Amino acid sequence: MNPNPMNRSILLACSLLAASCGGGATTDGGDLDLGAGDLTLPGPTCRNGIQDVDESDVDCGGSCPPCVNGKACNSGEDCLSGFCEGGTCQRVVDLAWSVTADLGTPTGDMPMSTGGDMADASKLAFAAPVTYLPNATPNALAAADFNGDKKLDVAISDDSSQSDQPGHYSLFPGVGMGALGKAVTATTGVRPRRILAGDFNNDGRLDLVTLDGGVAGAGAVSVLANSGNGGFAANLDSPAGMSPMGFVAGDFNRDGKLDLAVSNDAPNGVQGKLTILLGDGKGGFHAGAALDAGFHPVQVAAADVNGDGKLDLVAAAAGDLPNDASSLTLFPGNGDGTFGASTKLAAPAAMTVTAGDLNGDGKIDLAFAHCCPSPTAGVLLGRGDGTFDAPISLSIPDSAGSIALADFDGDGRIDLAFQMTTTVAVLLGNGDGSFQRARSIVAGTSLLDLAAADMDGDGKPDLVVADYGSNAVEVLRNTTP
Amino acid sequence: MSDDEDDDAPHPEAVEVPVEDVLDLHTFAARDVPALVADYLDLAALRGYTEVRIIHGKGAGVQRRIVESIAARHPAVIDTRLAGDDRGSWGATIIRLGRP
Repeated sequence: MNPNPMNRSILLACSLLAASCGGGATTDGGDLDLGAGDLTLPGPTCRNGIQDVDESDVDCGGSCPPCVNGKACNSGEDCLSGFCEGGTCQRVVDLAWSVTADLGTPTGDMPMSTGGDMADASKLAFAAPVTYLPNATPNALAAADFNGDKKLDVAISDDSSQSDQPGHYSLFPGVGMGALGKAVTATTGVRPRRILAGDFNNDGRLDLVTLDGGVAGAGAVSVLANSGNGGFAANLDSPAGMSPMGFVAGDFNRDGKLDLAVSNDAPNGVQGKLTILLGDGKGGFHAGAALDAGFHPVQVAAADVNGDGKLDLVAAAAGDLPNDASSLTLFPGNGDGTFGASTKLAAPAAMTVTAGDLNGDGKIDLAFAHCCPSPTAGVLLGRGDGTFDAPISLSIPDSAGSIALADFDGDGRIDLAFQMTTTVAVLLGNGDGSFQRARSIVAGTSLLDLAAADMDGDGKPDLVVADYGSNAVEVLRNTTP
Repeated sequence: MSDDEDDDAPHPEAVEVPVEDVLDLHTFAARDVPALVADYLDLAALRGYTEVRIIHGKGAGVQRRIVESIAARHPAVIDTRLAGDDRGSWGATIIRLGRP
C-alpha cells in the first residue's frame, strides 16, 4: 500500500453508492468530490453496457461490482464468488470444511466443561474460506452495514504503513451472498491497530474509529465519520495515552454519547492504564479517568456485570512474571464516567476477554483465554451482582487472540469462537455455561482478529478473520444445515 | 479534536519509564505482537539503545515474521538478524537501532 498523504483522494467502488453506478443524478458522468471525506467517485461507467475503465467484463469487476460466475476476471476480487480461474469467475465449491475435534490438554485446577453432545456438534460446518486481498496488512476488523444497503460490510485497520506515517483503513463493501466487493482505502491516524464501529457523532449512522499507536508511542483514537453516501470523512483524532493496545466503546457516563475505554501498555515493572475517553457526541473525546489496570493490560470489555444499569469494565492483563500474574480485573462503573474500586477476578490467567450471557440466565458472563506457557481458556458465570462462580476451564488447541460469541449451530444456545494463529476454534454451547470440545476450522496463515457476523443474510453467523500473514481478509460462510 | 486538548491529554503526569534492551514476547498473544513491538522499538530508540533483542520463540516462525515485518517499517531500525547461539538462536531477533 502506498504511504499516501493525509489528504489523498481514494476511489470508491460504485457498489458502495448506487448513484455512481446506476446513472444517478448527482455524478454527471465525472468525478464527484465529496469534500470532507476526500473521496472521489468514479463516473457512471458500471452500467453503460460496455467494458471500460478497469472492468474485467462488461460493467463488472475492477472498481465496479464483482462479476457473476462465467464472466471474465483478472483476480478473485473481480468475482462475486471470490474465485477467478482461467480468466473466468468460478463457482465456490460449498463443501463442508474439515471440522476436527481438538481434544487438547486440560490445564490448571478449574473443572473442565463436560464435552456435551458430540452428535449435535457434527452438524457444524463452514464453507472453505474465501480470500479477499485489500492490498493491506489487516490487524483488526469490524463488520457492520455502513452504507445502509442491508448487506454487511467489513472494515479493517492496516498495519502496512511506515510507522511514522499516516496509517490506513480499508472498507470492503458487502455485495450479497456473503461476498465482498473491492476494498477502498483511506488514511487514518498513525499506526492503526484496532478498529470499531459505532455512532460517535450521533447522526444515526455507523462510524468507524481506529486505535492508533501514534508517533513515539503517543496513542490516539481516530474517528472516521460516516458521510452517509458510503464513504467516511477524514479522521478526527483525540489523544488516547501511551502505547494503546485495545479499546471498547460504551456510554459510560450515560449522556447518550459513545465513550471509549483504552487499555494502555507500559514497560515491565510499570502499571498499565485504562484510559477513559468521554465522547462529545461530535466525534471528539475528552480524557476522563486513567485507572491502574495491572501489568501489560492488553484488552478491555464493557458490560453491566453487576446489574446496576451502569456499564462496567473488565480488563485483561498479560501480567509481569514473576511479580504479577496475568489477571482479569473488574472496574464497576458509577454511571458518570468514573469507576469504583477495582477487583481482581478469580480467573487463572487471561489476556483476552469478552462479555455476554453464556448460559441464558440474563446475567453477564465472561469468556477468557490465555496463551502461555500453554493455551488455556475458560468462562466465568456471573451471578449478576459483580461476582462470579468458580471458573470453568475450556480446552483450546492454540493461543487465542479474539473471542466471538454467537449461535453458530442455530440451537438457541450461545457458542464461542476463538481466533488462533491459523485456525478458529468453535466450541458449541450446551446452554448452561458449559461447552463442547473445540472444533478447529482452518482459516488463514497468521490471524490477528475475528468477527462473527451474518455476511450472507441466511440467519446464521459466519466467520470473518483478519489474516496478517497473508495480507487478506477471509470469509468463512456458515453452512451448518 | 477538542479545543482544550492539551488539558485533556491522557496521562499528563507521565514520567520516564524504564526500558530494557530485551523484549520477551512469550507471554503475549500474536494479536498483540505488532503493537507491542512497534511501541517497544519507539521507546528503545528514544532511550538511546543501539541494539535490542526480541525473543519470539522458535516455533513455526509466525511471531518471528511479524517482528521482522514491524522492524522493516520502523524508521529507527537499521537492520535485523537472528540471534547467535548464545542469545537465543533463531528464537530471537537482534535489531540494530539508529536515530529515527
